[in-house]
Amino acid sequence: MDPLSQTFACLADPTRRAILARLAKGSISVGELAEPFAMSLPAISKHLSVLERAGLIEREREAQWRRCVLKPAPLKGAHDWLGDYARFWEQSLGRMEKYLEELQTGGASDAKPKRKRKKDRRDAS
Amino acid sequence: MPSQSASARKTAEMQADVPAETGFVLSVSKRLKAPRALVFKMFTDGAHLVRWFGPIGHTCVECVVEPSIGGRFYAALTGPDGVLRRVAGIFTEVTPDQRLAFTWAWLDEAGQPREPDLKTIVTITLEAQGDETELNLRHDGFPSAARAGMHDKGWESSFECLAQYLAERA
Repeated sequence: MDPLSQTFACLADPTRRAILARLAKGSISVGELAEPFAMSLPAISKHLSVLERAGLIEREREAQWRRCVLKPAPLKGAHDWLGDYARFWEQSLGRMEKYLEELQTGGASDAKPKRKRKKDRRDAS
Repeated sequence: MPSQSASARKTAEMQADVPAETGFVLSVSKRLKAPRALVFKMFTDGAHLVRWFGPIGHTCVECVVEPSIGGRFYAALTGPDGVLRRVAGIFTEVTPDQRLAFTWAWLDEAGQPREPDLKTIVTITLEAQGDETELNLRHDGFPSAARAGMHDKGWESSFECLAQYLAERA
């Protein structure tokens, strides 16, 4: 699996996203990290292993105080990648809108602006 | 439990738990002051497509559009950085003036999909609104993680949090 797919695979899980969101606020120990989750420590450890393998976090090795640290590089890659697609379409369609306008307002000789027949408006009077 | 994490690491093949069938959906809507048939042509007539396809600062230097099922969709873009970017796909749905769908893959220098694991598809639906057209564009099939970016509030706030974190580091 390429690094980007691995990042997304990691992010597919709500617990892992919550872990990352918590770590974005600062490094904490595994125990503290596990507290808000209704999960056993081994279950949390399993998630941490997945995150670690994907290079999204780092765990310090001291037995007592295993602090988890967020590693931003892969996340930034995923964030940029999705943003690229959104920008692609938003900007392309913006350009299409301008082009349509040019096309219909005399950019092309055969493209007279079409006027719709005035709708008969029924007046109250 | 000093050795626990090592064994957990070995057995935790958690990529398998990713629901592959549901992907991220990027959705863009636009109301265009043009009749539906003309908007449809924007996508199906290469002479029109080259005029707008690509983000600001990009130029579409070449395109192939064969708007029938199984037909090709191909475009080459040059960006402000001078880099040539190529995208290719196959039409999977063509309903004149109403609906179009084609697969989408960025190509590498050798003309092979840049992200072979990634199958994405673009679906365009057009709705006539008097003289105007409501365009809906969906880009589907991104890794499921990101899907939540649109649908799942929890993810949104997580992502905001992460985005802020990344911004601080930039």
